[in-house]
Order: sequence, then C-alpha cells, then structure tokens
Amino acid sequence: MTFPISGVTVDPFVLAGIGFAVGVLGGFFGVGGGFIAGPLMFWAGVPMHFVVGTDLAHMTGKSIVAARRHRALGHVDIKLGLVMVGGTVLGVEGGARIVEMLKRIEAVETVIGVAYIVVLVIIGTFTAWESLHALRVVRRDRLDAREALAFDGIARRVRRLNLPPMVSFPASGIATVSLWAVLGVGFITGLLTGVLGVGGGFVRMPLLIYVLGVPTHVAVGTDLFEIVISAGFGTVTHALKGNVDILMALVMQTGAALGAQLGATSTRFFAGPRIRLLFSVLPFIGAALVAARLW
Amino acid sequence: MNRRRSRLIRDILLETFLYGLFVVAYTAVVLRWLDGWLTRLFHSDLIAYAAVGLVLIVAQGVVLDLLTSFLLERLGLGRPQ
Repeated sequence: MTFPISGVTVDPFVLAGIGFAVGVLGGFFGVGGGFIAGPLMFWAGVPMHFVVGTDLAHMTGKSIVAARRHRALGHVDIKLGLVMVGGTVLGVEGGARIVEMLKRIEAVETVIGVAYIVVLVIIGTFTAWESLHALRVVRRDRLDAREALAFDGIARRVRRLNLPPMVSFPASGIATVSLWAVLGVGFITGLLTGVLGVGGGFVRMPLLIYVLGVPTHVAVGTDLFEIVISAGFGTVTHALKGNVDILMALVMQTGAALGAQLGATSTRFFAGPRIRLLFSVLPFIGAALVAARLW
Repeated sequence: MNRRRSRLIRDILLETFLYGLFVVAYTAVVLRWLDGWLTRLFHSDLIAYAAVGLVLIVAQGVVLDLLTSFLLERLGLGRPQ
C-alpha cells in the first residue's frame, strides 16, 4: 500500500505488527517504544525524517492509553511530570530544529542513524550492568526487589544539591530536590525526542530512577505521562515541518494500542530489577536494526 | 488465587478484543474516507494538518478507550484492576 501523504509504499500489516510489538514492550517497560519502532520503520524503508515525526505521532495516542492504565494503578506522579514539562518542551523544539538543519545539508539519515546506535548501546550496557548488580544486592541483603538500586548514591547526591528553587514530590518519596535537576532530566530527554523521534523513555526512566531516586514502578507510570506530553508536542512541531504521515501513524497505532493494553497490565507480575534487566536487551536490538539499514 | 487470576485474564482479553474492534474500525474509516482530504491538507495547510492529525491520534487513544470502558460497564463487566 502506498501512503499518499509521504508517498511511501509499505505493507500496512507490517506497520500494525511493528505497532503491536512496540506497544507490548512500551506498556510493559513504561517507555513509548519509539527506540524500537523507529529502527523498524527505517528498516522497512520509511525515510528518516518521516520515521522521526510519524513515530512520535503513533506514540502519542498509544502512550495515553498506557499512562491511563498506570495512573489507575497509582503509578503516576502527576506533579513531577508537570514540572518536567518545561525542560522537555525546550528540548523537543531544539531537537526538531537540529533535524531541519540536517535535512538541509542532506545528512539526516547518517547522523541520526549513528546517534541512534551510540545512544542505544550506552543505555543497554548501563541498564544491564546496573540491574544485574541490583539483583545481586537483592539476593545478598534480602531487600524488597521493587526498590533495589545499584546507584542509590547518585540520587542521594542529587537531592543534596542545594540550588534553589527546591521542590518536593511526595508521591515519589522525594522530600526536596533542586528544580534544575528535574528540568535537566526533562531537557535531555526532550532533545532526544526531537532528534530521534522517540518518547525518550529509555533515557528518562533510568534518569528518574538513578538520578532523582524515583521508585521503579512510579518511574514507569510517570515516564509514560511525560511521553504523552513530549510526543504530543513533538508531533505538532514535526507536523508543521512536514515530517508526519498521520495515516501511517494511525495504522501503527492500531497495533500499538492493543499491545500497550497487554504490556501495561503485565507489569504487576514483575519486580524492579527484573523489569530493568529485560529492558536492557531492547536497545541492542534497536541498534542492530539501524546498523543493518545504514551499512 | 487461580480463580482470581483466570478472571483477570478473561477481563483483559475481553477488553482488548472490544477495544481492538473499535480501533480497527476507526482506522479503516479514516483510511477510507479521510485519506484524500488529509493529503490535500498536508500539501496546502500544515498548521491545520498538524491540528487535525493530533486530534485524530488522541481520539483514537482516548475516545475509543472511554467508549470501551462505558460499554464494559454497561455490560456489567468492569475493567480489569
């Protein structure tokens, strides 16, 4: 089928299948799944600038469904999500402008492809190493698996950073933290959203857990809430630049919405470090797909 | 415990089936009736295209989810908790 807006020919069942797979993964791990959907779309033959915009569009609707599920389970810190928005929006806009600049110099496929690989390999390696370490801590010290972290010290140091204004997030168990740390987390992930067309969850979730010290199950829900906002804003700003094929996004969303339902529900059967260990495999798969298309 | 779990799985499957029907029907309607209009909009007015696109995506996520909740409630089944 040829999608008339982008002029791209791709099997709609393949797109719906990609959507379903990333929906399950995204709902389960509390991420939008864009870092898998993007490489899969690119691999299926969609030009990179349409991958970035369309991926964000499909993620917006799907993340709303998953975020509503997590909110019902009490896993969303609304205040933390809303405070992060300022940094996120600035980052998304900055990233979208970088994509436009790369389009002008005809380097968008290569530069974004390589950026994908680098970011995914770093995140996968770090998360795998940390979750294995945390699982050893759980076994050795008999801690509650939901709260075990290998990098508890980083979060403690960030909370001691006395850079006003200071804010608190009782729903996440954060008594006081600098507003700039929260905005910084939002900006970094927003920039990735704008450049790579991902929700940024695969970076935001580790940052929420390790840097701000948010419990894993709250980080999952809050991350999805933030993805709704960042992907929604990213959709609009990329659509204005002609990078979104909304028909393609709706087909992907058909599979993704169903997958997200199943994924979000299944998180209740797994504990923190195990979720993170499973999560660590996904970035490597995404990196391999991008590398296969580039070379 | 097993009974509770099988009931939960049944509820999830039922909800997913119902929601799936709505989502597929919605996408089919948009592809069949709105593709030409959306394509023209994309080439003539990107601001309107961005707004309509966001509305279509959010409607697919939120409205159909609410419709599923409403129907499950009417059928006396409720959502899996």
